[in-house]
Amino acid sequence: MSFVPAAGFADPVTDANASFRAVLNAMAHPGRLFSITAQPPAPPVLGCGLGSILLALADRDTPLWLSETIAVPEVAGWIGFHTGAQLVGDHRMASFVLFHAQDRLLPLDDFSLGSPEYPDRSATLLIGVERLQEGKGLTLSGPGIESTNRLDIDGIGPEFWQARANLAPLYPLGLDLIFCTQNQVAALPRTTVVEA
Amino acid sequence: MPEGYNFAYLDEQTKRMIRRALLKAVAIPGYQVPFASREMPLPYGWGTGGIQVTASVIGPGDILKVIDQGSDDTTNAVSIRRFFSKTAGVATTERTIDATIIQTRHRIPEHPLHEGQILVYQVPIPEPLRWMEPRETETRKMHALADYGVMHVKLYEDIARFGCIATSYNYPVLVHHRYVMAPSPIPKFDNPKMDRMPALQLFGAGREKRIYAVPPYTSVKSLDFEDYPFEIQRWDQPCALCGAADTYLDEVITDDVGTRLYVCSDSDACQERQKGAA
Repeated sequence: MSFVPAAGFADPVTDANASFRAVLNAMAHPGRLFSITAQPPAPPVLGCGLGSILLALADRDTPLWLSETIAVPEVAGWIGFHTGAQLVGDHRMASFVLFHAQDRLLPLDDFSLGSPEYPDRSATLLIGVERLQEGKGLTLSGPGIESTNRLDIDGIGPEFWQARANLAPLYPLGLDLIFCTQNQVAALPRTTVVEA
Repeated sequence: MPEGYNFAYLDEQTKRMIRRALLKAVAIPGYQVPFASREMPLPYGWGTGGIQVTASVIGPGDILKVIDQGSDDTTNAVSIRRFFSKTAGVATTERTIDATIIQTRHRIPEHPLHEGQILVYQVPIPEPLRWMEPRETETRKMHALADYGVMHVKLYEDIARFGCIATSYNYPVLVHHRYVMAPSPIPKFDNPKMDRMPALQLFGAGREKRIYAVPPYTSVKSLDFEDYPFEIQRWDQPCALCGAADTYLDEVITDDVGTRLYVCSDSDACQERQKGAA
């Protein structure tokens, strides 16, 4: 069966730069929303927010793990064609982990948390959500936040935040989270303290 | 832009690798992320780390300022500014407040930086413990265990020999209460500016192949002792050109009989103040 993947970035250099800057800003200002301006025709299951971040950051050096709902042939083909990233079946091996808010939650401490000498060798979770809203919801504090920020993330339940809080004592080991809608991104690095 | 180069010189694969390192660096403040530093068209020690970080971050809409020891018009600053206007076609400026990205060698501008700006430091030796422990395997372990006793011993030895902490540049800091970090060879005069700075601070060491970062509003504390608190340099006289009494001054020898004067090292801040006074 032959299939032709949809196009990637319209302008690979500036679109990748703009998408990266949105993620960098999000990581530097946890809980604040930043726009993803590039709109590549990514498969709808993936969405162009997650699609843009993958095109900007993934390549053959970054093993990817996709949740069941995302790992359809259309998505796998599109990612493989544009980034060359290897899809792995074992989520513990992945440097980028993709899932949607409504997907079944895997134990967070099962993902790669890095090692004491190399805490950067840890997974980054890319999480597709329906809606992100500033000014209400969770209260966030930590590096990158002047006093506190508030962020509402649609579809992420308390058990997820409990599992994330359980990782905090392991710092500097940990997971960095990037939440993404079709055109907005927010990030919670491992240093951010989340209160419901 | 000349033909034959990718935007901002580096190829996209290299930028992706550096971008991933930058994101982890921001997520773990003060921790040194190894990266696959590339050969650049200038020697190590001339800012290859800072240039690679800037090249991976910069976009067509950015306005770049480059300073070398505070000055916009020394060789290193002029060359790097020209490098990016050639390879990326970006706008450049000498004014601190107009810049979106400031690449610096050994100074933090006097004018407070604002949110949204990115300060890129050129770093020669990223490992603050390197002079005490030459083995990378050991310094990794010391950071992993937050075992920073040797750094306090070094500062103590200063006090024992000189009666004060004589370290005056590259003065070690503790970032987010966890990692001891080399602030690069900025004078300790600039250390307090790093603490809870609204701008994002990125550090690139090309030869040593390390990237690290301090996110905005992050605690950066200069190491000291209760009875020997951290102090910054002071001068007996103001800047001879603009009259500022609260800036970092360079000593300039003006003739062959030893006449000297003290002037601001930050050329933009000095000129702005002279204009304001005129």
